[in-house]
This record gives sequence, structure tokens and C-alpha cells, in this order.
Amino acid sequence: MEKKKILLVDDDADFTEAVKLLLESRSYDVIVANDGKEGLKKVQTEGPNLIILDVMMPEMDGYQVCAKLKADPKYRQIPILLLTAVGEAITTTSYTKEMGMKTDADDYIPKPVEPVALVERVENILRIS
Amino acid sequence: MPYRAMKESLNAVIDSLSDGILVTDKQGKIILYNQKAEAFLGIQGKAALDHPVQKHIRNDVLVGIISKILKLELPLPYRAEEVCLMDIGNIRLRVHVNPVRDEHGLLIGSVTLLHDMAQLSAIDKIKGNFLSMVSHQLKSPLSSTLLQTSILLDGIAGEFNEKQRDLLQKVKNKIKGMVDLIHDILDVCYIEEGGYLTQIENLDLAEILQRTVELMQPQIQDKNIVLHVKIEDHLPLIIGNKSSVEAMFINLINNAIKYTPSEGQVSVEMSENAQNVQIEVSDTGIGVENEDIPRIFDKFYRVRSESTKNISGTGLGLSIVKSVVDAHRGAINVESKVGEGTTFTILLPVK
Repeated sequence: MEKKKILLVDDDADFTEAVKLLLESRSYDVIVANDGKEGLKKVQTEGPNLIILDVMMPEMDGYQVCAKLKADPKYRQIPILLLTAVGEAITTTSYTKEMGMKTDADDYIPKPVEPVALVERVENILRIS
Repeated sequence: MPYRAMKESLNAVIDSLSDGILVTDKQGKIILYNQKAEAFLGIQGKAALDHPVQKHIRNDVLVGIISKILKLELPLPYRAEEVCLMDIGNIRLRVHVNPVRDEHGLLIGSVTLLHDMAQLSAIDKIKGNFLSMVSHQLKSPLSSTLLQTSILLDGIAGEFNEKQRDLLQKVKNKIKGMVDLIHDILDVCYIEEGGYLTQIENLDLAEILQRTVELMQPQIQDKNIVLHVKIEDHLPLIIGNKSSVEAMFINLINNAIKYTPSEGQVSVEMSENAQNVQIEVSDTGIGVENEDIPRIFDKFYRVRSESTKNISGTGLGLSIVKSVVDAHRGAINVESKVGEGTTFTILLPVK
């Protein structure tokens, strides 16, 4: 069975290194992009099965990348998992969940992520799509 | 000094204050106010003098607080003061309302102080923002570190011997503690800086509570705790800030779960009580000694005893709960019996 390919878009190098290790240990192929622009480019060149997108990035944030992708018929069907970072509001509540809900993202998970929870989400999304 | 001259001097003095002052008599009739109060409250000159406070002051919350102070009964509590933050027009004000007593201690009126928060000294502003800024800066690297540690522990980067794994688990716990602390500090900053004032709306408490309970399922199941939720039908809506109220529920239930041993019970009941929504959170946990009760809402206060030795926490949870209750002008009460359990009762006024 072909390995599923995941594109991880996040500007935090420590985070992407750790998540890459985690997902690769679960037999996924992981490609990393360090910002929104690079992310959009790699969607074109790599054709991922899933995009994990961080919300808080400089220049182009995750919401903008998500909006661009969902507006494009070529890429609309690629599921997007949004990593909603907490803003300056009450941080431990589902306030952040609501932010994720306002986009066309397929799912969201707030940072800091528990590895088990992230893997579960990824598996669920890839099973459905 | 002749009375007239003294009165003019006094007026000159209070008109020079950068805070607004408004004084009413016992019946709520306005008897004195200064220029800053006129500006803040949108009153034209001395038009409001000798009129009831609700006639010229459009802000219902403020009128409500003044009425509340004027209804205080003897003996007047030692510290009878209402303080709250409110936005009037474009100005964020911190409002203090105190009862005025005569020489026999009887209530003869109220005095309101309106303080423009934008006047915060440069130092206060820097201090307030600085804490938020520092917390945000700490949050990212700590979150990454937490993830890296979790992944290490999973054995993905190689296996560990028992000693190494044990030590690493301790590192992970410590980091998790720091991440929780930063979240709580950010919550505290949010409330103290009045961030919630920009997002006030009608709240359906039943809906918020149900969502919170869903969020907390993992913790509940981890400890095999039975959570009973009982919500009265047709509860009135309250006016407030959704995020803060959610944080209040989360911290209350979190607290109950933490201090209740496995297989214990936590129950949350919401009902209508007079002009309030009443929220009761009870647990069958270790309870709190009477002498500790006044302090549990203090920031960073944690009861230190045999039974709490192994319970981790930031000590900010209940102070966040109290701040949210205060911000919504509600009341909170605690009853507890050591070894049996604790009940928190909160009243949030319906507007």
C-alpha cells in the first residue's frame, strides 16, 4: 500500500522536526514548509494527501493559506488540519476551536498538541478522505 | 472662611481632578458632580443636579451598582465598595462606588469615582503588557519542547532504559506544568486588562457548560470520576463574556476533578435563583479546612498537606474563577468538609 504523504506547514523548526519524526514513525511521508508561500508551492509540487497547517505564521498566516487552497478547485479536496494556536484571549478554552470553525478547514487541533491526539486526528482524516 | 467661598474652592478642587466624581443622596438623587464626570457620562453642564441618577445617566450597569450600594443595610460591611471596569463611549473606565456615611455610621448617599484607564501610568502599561508579552514568548518554545519530550518518551528516537525514561517523564511533567502556568497567567492578564470588555454578549450558560463538559471528558475518564450534570430548563440568558465564562467552568470542574480521588463523584447543577443563575459544583473530594477557605481564591495559593502533596497545579485556577465571577458582578461561596467534599456555589446576575 502506498504511503500517505503529509505536508506540514509551520515556521517553528523544533516543532516540525518533532512532528516529522512522530508521523514518519507511523509510516507517513512528511514534507515540511516553513511559511505560507513555501507551503502553497509545495502543495503544487508534492501533491500531499493531507496538509497540516499552523495558524500563526508571519506574512501569510494559516487562515490565508487555507482560504487560498479551498478556493482553488485543483486543491479544494485536500483535507486541511489547522493547528490553531491560542490568541491573547482565554487560552485554555474552546475559543480557539471557534476560530478554526470559521474557516473551511476540515479539522483543527489546538497547540500544544499531544502526540497521540495528533496521530489520531491524522488517521481519522485520512480514513475519511 | 465664608460658606460661599469655601464651596467655590471645593468646586475648583474637584473640577481639577482627572477622575470623575459623582455624589448622590440616599434616594439616588444626584447632588454633586465634577467636570470630568460630565465628560465621561455625557451630561450637559449641571443639568443632572437634583435629578434621580437613572434620569441622566444612560449606563444601566452604573445605575445598577449605585442602586445596589444605596440599598446596603446596617451594619454597613466594613469594605462596602463596588469596583468594576466598564466601557462608556470610547473610554475604558474603572469605576468605584462607595457608600457615604455620616458620623453615626448611617448611610446618607453614594460617591462614585470614574477613573480613565487610559491614564494608566507608563509603568503600569508596560507592566501589564509586559507580562502578556513575556508569557507569549515563553509559550511557543515550551510547547515545542513539550512535544519533543513526548516524542522522545514514545521511543520514536530510540529506546531508553528505565532510569532514563523515568527522568525524562519527570522532565515532561515539569514542562507540562510550565505550559499550564503560562496559559493561566495569560488568562489572568486577559481578565485584569479588561480584554473581555470588548466581547460582551448574551450567553446561554447551559450551552457553554455542556461544551465544557465535552472538552473535559478525557480527564474525567482518566480518573474514573462520575460527572453528574443537571441543568434546569429555560434558564435566562446572562450578559457577559463567553471565553471568560468558559474558563470559569473549566477551572471549577478541573479543580473538582483534581481534588477528588479516583472513582469519586463531581456534580454540576444550574438553576434559576431569584434574579440570578445559580451554578453549584460539588465533589466528593478531600475537602478544604475552614481556615484555608478564605485563601483558596488567592493567586498562587495552594493548600499544602499530606493529601495534596501529589496534586500538581498552578494555584491560579480559583483566582481566575473568582475574577470572572467578579467581572460579571456575581458572587461565589464555598462550603467544605475535610474528607467528604466541597461545594462551590456561584450566582451570576441576570440583566
